[in-house]
Amino acid sequence: MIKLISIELFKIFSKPRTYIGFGAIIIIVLALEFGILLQGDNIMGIIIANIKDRFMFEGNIINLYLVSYVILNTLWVHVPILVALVAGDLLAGEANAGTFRLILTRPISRVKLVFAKFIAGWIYAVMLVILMAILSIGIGKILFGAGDLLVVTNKVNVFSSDDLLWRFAGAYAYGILSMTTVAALSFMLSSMADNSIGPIIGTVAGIVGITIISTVGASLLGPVNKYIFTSYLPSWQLFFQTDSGLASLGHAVLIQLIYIVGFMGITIWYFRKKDILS
Amino acid sequence: MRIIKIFLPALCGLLINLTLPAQDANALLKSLGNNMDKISSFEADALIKVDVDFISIKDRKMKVKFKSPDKFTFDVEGLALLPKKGLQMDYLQILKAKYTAIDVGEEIIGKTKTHIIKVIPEAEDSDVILAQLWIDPELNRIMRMKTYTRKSGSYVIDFEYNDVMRPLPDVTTVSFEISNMAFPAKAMNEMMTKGLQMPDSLPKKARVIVQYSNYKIVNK
Repeated sequence: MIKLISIELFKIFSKPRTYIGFGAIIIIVLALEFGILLQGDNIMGIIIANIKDRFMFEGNIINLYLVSYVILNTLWVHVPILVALVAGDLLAGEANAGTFRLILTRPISRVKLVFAKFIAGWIYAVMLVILMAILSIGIGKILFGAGDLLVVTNKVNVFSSDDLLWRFAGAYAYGILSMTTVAALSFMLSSMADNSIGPIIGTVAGIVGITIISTVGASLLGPVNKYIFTSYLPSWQLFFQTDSGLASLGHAVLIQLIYIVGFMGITIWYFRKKDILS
Repeated sequence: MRIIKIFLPALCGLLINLTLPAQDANALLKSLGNNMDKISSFEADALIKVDVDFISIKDRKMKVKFKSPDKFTFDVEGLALLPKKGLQMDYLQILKAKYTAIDVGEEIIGKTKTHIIKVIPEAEDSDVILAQLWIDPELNRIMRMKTYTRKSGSYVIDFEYNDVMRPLPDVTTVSFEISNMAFPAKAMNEMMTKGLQMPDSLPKKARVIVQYSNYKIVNK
């Protein structure tokens, strides 16, 4: 199995599109870090304008943790596109290149092949999130230095710097989980297509479309929303809430796991009975 | 002529009655100012507790430094929220400008009998519209201050003293009202989960308690 995964990883890293993801992460992080360096004071001024009437802030508000928190928001749209770029190509790419027949003549089961490809794709997704974490924190440390984290949602939460390491570790770990769901969706669509464009666009359109529908029609879809995985893509934010945040996390993790198992189940079921014509 | 003979003493009496409390009030405020003017500089450790329903922050430690006449510096460990009013002996700034003072009575705070003085700043551009000071006339210390401002609403500061002679407080409690404070939360979070929706209304009362210790006072 490890050899199979290594081969699939070799294939992934032989393709130029793989490096688009890493390049995009570097550009996104640098753009956000330098944007915050130039305009961060103004943006934070707007966010905390109401509190500033009554409170004065002493200390470094714009620091590496705030920047890393802002960058974590890219886990909703930007990073899923990059994950889909590779995961959507894992099976459909083989079909498109006409190499399936050759691969499946080897003495390995289809299920094993599916798992090896998925794990290789998952490793790529993990690498994207880890690269994002290292760059956010590393460049943030150089440009802004450390400090406490101010998070403004419907409440104002200030987290001490010594209370942040586990929260960020948890947020990134959750990010990896949610990107695994995206990879599984893209992988499932990839198993059904003979061209990787369809699964890639299908994944992005699916995520954005479902989110728009569930947001616009929140009142109509209210009861359903809590079972849709896109509702939980930004649930890493629960690590930065002081009340009931972590209690809701279990539900978010469970939903993501159910979708991963569901998408993988469909992929295996479909791929096992698929006619290999290329 | 007879009418003048009757009404003139009455009028004088009335004027004396109106003026005397003002004189007492002014004297009391002057004593308070003089008491504080003796301090050239001080520094102290402070522990800040923010008690606001929608603000979650652990207690913060800071070093407060003051240099006469009105320079305050705060050296905080990490990030702290300090009340905009109440930590910088705001009453001294009011008393240094022109004002009208009226003694409106007495009130007992804890075990201390205080005089209540209303202070109306005369400057048209003053942010403070009216300040009400509860002053301990024996030790010339301020026990409570209620201020009405143009920009920051009203706030009350309670001062507690452990040391009988020291004019600086050991605990300062700043209370004020916050109504319908709305945050542009989406500027910080691109997408909010349902649990993070903004509530319709927020609590009205906010309190910041500052506990001072290790005073090092340098007198003039």
